Amino acid sequence: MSAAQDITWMNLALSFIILLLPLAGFWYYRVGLTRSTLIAVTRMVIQLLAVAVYLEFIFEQNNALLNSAWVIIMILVGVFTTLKRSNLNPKVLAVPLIISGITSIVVVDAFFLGFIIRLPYVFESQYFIPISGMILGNAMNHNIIGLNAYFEGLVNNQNLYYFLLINGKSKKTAINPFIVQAIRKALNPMIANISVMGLISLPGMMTGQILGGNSPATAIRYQIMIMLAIFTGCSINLMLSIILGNKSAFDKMDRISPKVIWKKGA
Amino acid sequence: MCKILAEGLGKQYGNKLVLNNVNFAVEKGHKVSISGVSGRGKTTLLRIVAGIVPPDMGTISFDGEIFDSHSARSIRKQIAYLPQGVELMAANGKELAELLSIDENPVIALLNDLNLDRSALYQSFADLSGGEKQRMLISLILSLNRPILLLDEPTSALDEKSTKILMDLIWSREDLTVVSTSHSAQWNSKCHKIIEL
Repeated sequence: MSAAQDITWMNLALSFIILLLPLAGFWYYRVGLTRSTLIAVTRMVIQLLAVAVYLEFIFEQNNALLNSAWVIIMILVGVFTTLKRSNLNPKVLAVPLIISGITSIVVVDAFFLGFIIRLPYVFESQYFIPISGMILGNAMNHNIIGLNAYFEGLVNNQNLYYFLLINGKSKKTAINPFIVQAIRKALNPMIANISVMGLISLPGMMTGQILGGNSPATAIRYQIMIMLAIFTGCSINLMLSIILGNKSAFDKMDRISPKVIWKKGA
Repeated sequence: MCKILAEGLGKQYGNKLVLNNVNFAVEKGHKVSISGVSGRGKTTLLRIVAGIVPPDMGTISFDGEIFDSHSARSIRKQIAYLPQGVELMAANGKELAELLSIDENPVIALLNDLNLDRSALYQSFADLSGGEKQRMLISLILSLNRPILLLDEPTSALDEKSTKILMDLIWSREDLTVVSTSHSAQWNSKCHKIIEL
């Protein structure tokens, strides 16, 4: 296998021409997405250029503290994006979500990088940063769905919670139907995605490895490992976020704090 | 001593004062209704009594014990509560009974008392009418055998005949203390006391 054919900056610039096709469709149907698409693409280019410069630097340094700081920044960005997108109050839930993010990364990275790949140095930038990034990016998407379903479900359907709580169940049992619903909503799409992997979806990491010149056999081993890491990381992150979030989302009489929902309760 | 005592209860949502200096006492075995036009805070008051909504002013006590975080667990063990419009995450009454750890036989007996067949317990909630669902929920909470019943609009989906059957059942339990909200003149006419808001 040879390494991937390099793309020149000029050719990359030319690749933007193809955006004219979806934009023409948006214009024709008056979808109103042209501006947000252009902003999103511009942001992507600026962010990736900045990250490329920064990553070159941290890859060169390969320093545990620097690498960890980068992952912490990714966790913080992920947490605040999750809270904003799921309409939840950062004052109540930011700390529990940050702890959940850090815990899930520590557990999954330690297991896969230290125990499975057996890296002599688990903070090796080449592995630590992209694998943590893939876990956190996926965790953010699933947390947005799961946490929104859980907390909005509790607030909007609090009659059921109080019906169970007052009529004899503990808080733990009364919140259980809401937790089940949230976990199902958040993780079902990923389970479906895992089950069709290789059939109707060729995953990014595998594609990247093949383009980078690795054999398909190596690429597949990495892909299976990363899917396990992502699934475990997302599941731990979501469940921990709910468990830790519950500590500040209820008062001493097990009443749901209206402050948990940002716009309605704040 | 009064079973339930409310002293100086007040509640404000934003700038809107919903309840102002509400006082009442409910004796053991009495059936009491909170009455008033919509938006006057009937449900809020019942939710304060149930310990769901914290009052901004005043206290609520049960048998002389103030309802707060220290007493919440023991007081809640005396209460059965029917909220308005519960969106049920269970498929049917049987599943809900299991969720509440209730034996089905007493529920079936109560369903019969309320003129519902035992098959209703296994029927999907989607297939039950509003009145049937309401009777199902009341049967479930009555089978808990708690000494205090808090009911939010218990007859809202019932016709006159079903309301009478439910009232006969509840009033036949002389030791049962009931605090309810209701628009029903039929229900309110038989209550020991009306708390007018």
